Amino acid sequence: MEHDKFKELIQLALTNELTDNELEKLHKHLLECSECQHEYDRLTKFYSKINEKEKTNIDDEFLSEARGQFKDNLNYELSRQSIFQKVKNFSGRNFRIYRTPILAGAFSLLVGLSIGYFVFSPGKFSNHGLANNPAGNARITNVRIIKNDTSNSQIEFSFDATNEVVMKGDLNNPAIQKILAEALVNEKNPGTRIQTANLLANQTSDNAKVNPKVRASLITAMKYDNNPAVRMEALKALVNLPFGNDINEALLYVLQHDRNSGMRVTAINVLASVKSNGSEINQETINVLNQKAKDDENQYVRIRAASLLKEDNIQ
Amino acid sequence: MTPEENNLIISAQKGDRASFERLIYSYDKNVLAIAYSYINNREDAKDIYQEVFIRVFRSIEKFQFKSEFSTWLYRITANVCLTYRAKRKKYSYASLDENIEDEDGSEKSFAETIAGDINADEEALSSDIQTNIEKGLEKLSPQQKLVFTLKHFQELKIKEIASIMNCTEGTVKNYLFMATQRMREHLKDLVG
Repeated sequence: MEHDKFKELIQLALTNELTDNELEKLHKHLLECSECQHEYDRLTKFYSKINEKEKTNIDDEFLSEARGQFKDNLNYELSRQSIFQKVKNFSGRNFRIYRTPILAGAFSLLVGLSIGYFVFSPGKFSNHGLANNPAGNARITNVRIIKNDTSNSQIEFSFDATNEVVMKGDLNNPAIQKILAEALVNEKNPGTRIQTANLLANQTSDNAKVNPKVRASLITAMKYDNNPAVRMEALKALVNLPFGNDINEALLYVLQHDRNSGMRVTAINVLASVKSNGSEINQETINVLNQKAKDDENQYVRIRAASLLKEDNIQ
Repeated sequence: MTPEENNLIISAQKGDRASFERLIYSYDKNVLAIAYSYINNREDAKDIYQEVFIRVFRSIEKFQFKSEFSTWLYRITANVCLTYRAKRKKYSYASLDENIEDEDGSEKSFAETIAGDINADEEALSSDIQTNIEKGLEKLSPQQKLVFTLKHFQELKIKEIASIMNCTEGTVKNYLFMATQRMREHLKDLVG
């Protein structure tokens, strides 16, 4: 397949539109093609920027305004239909008596005036906006009435007010790391999750201090995120962190359960690299490698697993 | 379509206003979200909302249960968006489908921690990105803009967009690729 076709596949992959087979093909190609890998990185960056656009936020006030206007418009529409119906019935019954030009003209004038009145008369499209929002521009949700005393018009209620917050700071700031960790696991938009994982990957590559929550979030994202690009970025970030049992277990999970061969290939390469740095391979890892050497769908994973076991004569 | 929705449609077709309102209130938030993400202006989005539901009201009698009600409604929404060109230049573009109305056709502690870190430069940069994205979107054709908006800001699948726009998935992909190319060109200074 030519590069142009793969470039289309990259767009579709980053927007969650590819099947597992197509993703596997693409990831195989990406491992071999630096041009497409470069395109993948640039497009990831582009989508991150696009995701910076404020999200559509339909708050209750906005919806109520639209509904209020529509009620007015619907009333008008119904009255308009009603007057047309009356005029139609009237003219149908009495058509014979309006034969003279003067009476027909008067009838046309009457119809015109009626339509004009109903079309152009003021007050038909008045807005029904809610009272001013006491919490400024905050998004109001979860309104609960606590007390409603109709005798003296007093009301007591609670609500959640959410404000957008813009922040700037050091990636090593624990508060910032905590937010990124939350975003990586809970943000709905895959582009934002990719961008977050990418940021954390850059940060971990500096051997900077990483909050334990970030480490846990990266592991969760690598194992369970439904977007392969997010899982891959999380894996890249974890590679830079001090290796431990938690990461080892997560890599084994990927090897056993990730349907994306690109992920499994990267996971086994990481295990190989850890082993070549002198780390011991535990029994659980040996068991998984044995299994992978026998039955992984991907030939590279099978061969790599077998060679790792062979290196230490462990089967 | 649920039996309850079926009954609401039948009652609405017979002129029952309450049923009509109940029916549309299941979907109107989505309609408003599509309109707002497409036009990026609250007043214009409310205008589109009005136009969509007046069209639905006028043509619900023609609905023949050959498709999902939601598909029919979102097609009307797409058609109104495509033909809507802000208040001063309304309805200046041809639609994709002339018969589209026809069925066939933060934790508190975070905020406290970060409240002092809000930086004017960052805000300016963020607003710059926002403005640039909006300007880029304005340069797209209505179809490209709608497809790009539905995909990236409403997070719909290509299949769903094709159904809403009453065209093939291939056509949607073409619009999406062209829109992405033009947006990348427009944002190249920001994205690099």
